[in-house]
Amino acid sequence: MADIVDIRDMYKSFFGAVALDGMNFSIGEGEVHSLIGENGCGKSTMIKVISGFHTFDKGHLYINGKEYQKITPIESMGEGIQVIYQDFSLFTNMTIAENITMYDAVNKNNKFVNWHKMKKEAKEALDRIKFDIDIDKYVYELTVAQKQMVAICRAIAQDAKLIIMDEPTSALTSKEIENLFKMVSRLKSSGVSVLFVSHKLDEVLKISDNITVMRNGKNVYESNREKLSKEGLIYHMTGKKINEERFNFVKISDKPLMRVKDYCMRNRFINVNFSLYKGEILGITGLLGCGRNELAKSLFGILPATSGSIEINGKDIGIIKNVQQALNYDIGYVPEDRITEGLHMEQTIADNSISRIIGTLVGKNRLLDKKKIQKKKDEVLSLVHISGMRPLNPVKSLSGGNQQKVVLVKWLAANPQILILNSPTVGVDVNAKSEIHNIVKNLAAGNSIGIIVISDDIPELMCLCNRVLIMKEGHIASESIIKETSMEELEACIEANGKEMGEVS
Amino acid sequence: MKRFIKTNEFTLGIIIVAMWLIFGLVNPDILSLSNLYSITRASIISAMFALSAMLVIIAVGIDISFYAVGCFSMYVTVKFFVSNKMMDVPLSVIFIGAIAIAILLELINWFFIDKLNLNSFIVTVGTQTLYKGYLLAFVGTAYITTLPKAMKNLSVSYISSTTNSSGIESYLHVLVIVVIVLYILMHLMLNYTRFGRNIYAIGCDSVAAKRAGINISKTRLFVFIIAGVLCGIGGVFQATLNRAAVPADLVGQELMVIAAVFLGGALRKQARGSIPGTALGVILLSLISNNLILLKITSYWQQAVTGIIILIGLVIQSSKSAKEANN
Repeated sequence: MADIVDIRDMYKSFFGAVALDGMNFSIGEGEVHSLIGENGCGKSTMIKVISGFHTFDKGHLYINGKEYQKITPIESMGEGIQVIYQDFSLFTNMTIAENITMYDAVNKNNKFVNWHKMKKEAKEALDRIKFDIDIDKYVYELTVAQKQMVAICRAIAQDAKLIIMDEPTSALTSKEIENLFKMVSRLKSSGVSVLFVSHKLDEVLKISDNITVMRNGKNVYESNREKLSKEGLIYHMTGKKINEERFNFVKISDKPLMRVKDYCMRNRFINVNFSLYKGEILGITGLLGCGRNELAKSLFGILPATSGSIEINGKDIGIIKNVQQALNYDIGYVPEDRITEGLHMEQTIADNSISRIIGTLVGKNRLLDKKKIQKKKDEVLSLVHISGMRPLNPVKSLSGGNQQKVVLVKWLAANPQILILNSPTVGVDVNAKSEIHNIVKNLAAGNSIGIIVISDDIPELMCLCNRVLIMKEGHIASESIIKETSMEELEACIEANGKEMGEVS
Repeated sequence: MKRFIKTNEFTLGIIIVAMWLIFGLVNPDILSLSNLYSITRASIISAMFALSAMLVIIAVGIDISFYAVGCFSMYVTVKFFVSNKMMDVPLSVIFIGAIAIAILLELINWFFIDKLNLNSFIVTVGTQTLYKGYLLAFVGTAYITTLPKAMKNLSVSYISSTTNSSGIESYLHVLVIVVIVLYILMHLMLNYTRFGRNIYAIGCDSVAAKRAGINISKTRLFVFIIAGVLCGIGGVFQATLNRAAVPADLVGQELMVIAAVFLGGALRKQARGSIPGTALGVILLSLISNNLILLKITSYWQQAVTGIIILIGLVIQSSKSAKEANN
């Protein structure tokens, strides 16, 4: 099999910071290859070298057997290399047909537009990957998954030999991910190679023929998937064995901190009953669509429940109707999407850390007290170690894992009694993940707050929680005590509940 | 067909027809041919400048300097010929002069917006004020009522005339044809040339456009040159219809033109401004302001009513695009 891209001994640095440090990589025809590594390991630099947006300092770059000293984006596309960016780079004000044929038309520099020919070409590209959609639709009308398909079609329309997908599954539902994987295998069977850049190890193991692990600017491990396990990948990515201790729950009081009684939301979940104790970390899991998300949101008043009641410290407070009410009972919520719901991305880290409690930092005249604010910022930011953090930099300058730590700090500042974490480590790299887990465990044990973790990451639940509730079709199907169960048993339990659901629906 | 009914142009068309009929019930004169002629005449100037504004809005963002550019180029040109006693100068030379100056002024906009990467709204607020101030301070403040002969002749060139019930004659002005031709040319350019499609692409997402291989700076350059051409022509039209070159003309009334462009569908979110939409937006707004006069509504009320109609139009549009986005 001929190699489409072959990189030998490549070096690249930006203003003295080394991004590629002797990288070797190759991908053959019809191969699905995954590139994984922690944030900042040089993955995106390598992609940008291949696609012509960066030059390299030293080394060899062979594309389709031809050596390039440097390559421009146009040349790279000419060699059949197409990158599908996370934002897809589509024009939302144009139709699907025009988007698919746009690159080609710009490239050929035709002076006029032939709409009839354009539609014909677009239709051909759609047929080649058997994607069925009305090509006259405008792109802004499409879902994220459909936009991605259009971006793939556009690559196909230009006779792509290699399609590079940058974190392609991060915004998709599990059903859409399945469709994407089907598409990838269709591309593969038609001889197109796919380079998958991803964080999600399960997906990588499922889809790739070969896996390259990158660390500190070079390839540290390469293998086909049969020989690798998730733990093995983590080891190669971080360079160390991450051995997380399980959470050890010590019951402080027999009285529950929070009791949820017959909680219902129409069409979402029904008769949910559970108790949460002080110092406990309670996991809630289940397959997508089982109602775990809605339950989490209802406990914080974002989507109010329709019936049932909640007791906090023995006091019945009925349904939590809105967020303000939840805040009054010292409930905190770390949302799934920290970028849009958890943080003010453009604001500084320090400002974000006190954004929840800023209303309390006032002087006698009821105006904000600068000294108090500064003191509080210093205090809360010292609670959690955030590596490479400068308080006056915007939050968006941090990596995903460190951003998530800022969200946690923001809630720590408010001293919550109950903290709800919705998928706390999605899109966070392995190292930061275990750090976040330690923070959460210390919170539960040290500050004796009750924590609810909503997650579908089974290893995470195993090391973080002492109890896990498994939801199915909107009700709690079973409960596992982590001490008395193994990872395989928990996995099987979730699968079993999921399968039944599959048969019903 | 279904798609056509969902378009913004269709909605606008319905609103225009409905309004015309309602107004006509109150005052039958509104349905007369002479009223149609006078509305057409009143639309010429805003239609010309709306074309320029729409082009810039699609490509880079809101532009409010077009009237200032038009007046500046018109006044400087006319003043030059009149003060040099060149009253026999041909029409084409007047247009070329005005267009050249207008292009120069639009290139200043281009420099700040493209080369220095500044927000188009803020830049054009600045240049609008600058152009107007410079004109009044350094070129002159006097009204020029004796225009070159060619402009005078043009101002009374009509295609047809009609007499209304009260015996007043109305004319269909020849410039209407020029405006229609320019609208058709622009429509063809935006929809059937690579350049036109690239304008929509860079307006939608300049990063994506760059990745597609479009030369953004060059595309914007031509956009501003065309905007300059349109503003230059528009400026001369204004002096011609007004039968005077007025240096402080038009500037300050940009928002009505921008409102017409927005009614025509050039909401920035999707940057889908279209020529038919803009034409209908212009017609709708001049229909309202002209007919409210015939309905004997005071001018303060006219402004309020115009504002309400603009808001209703935008609400209909945005609720429609929100619905489409949810589907």
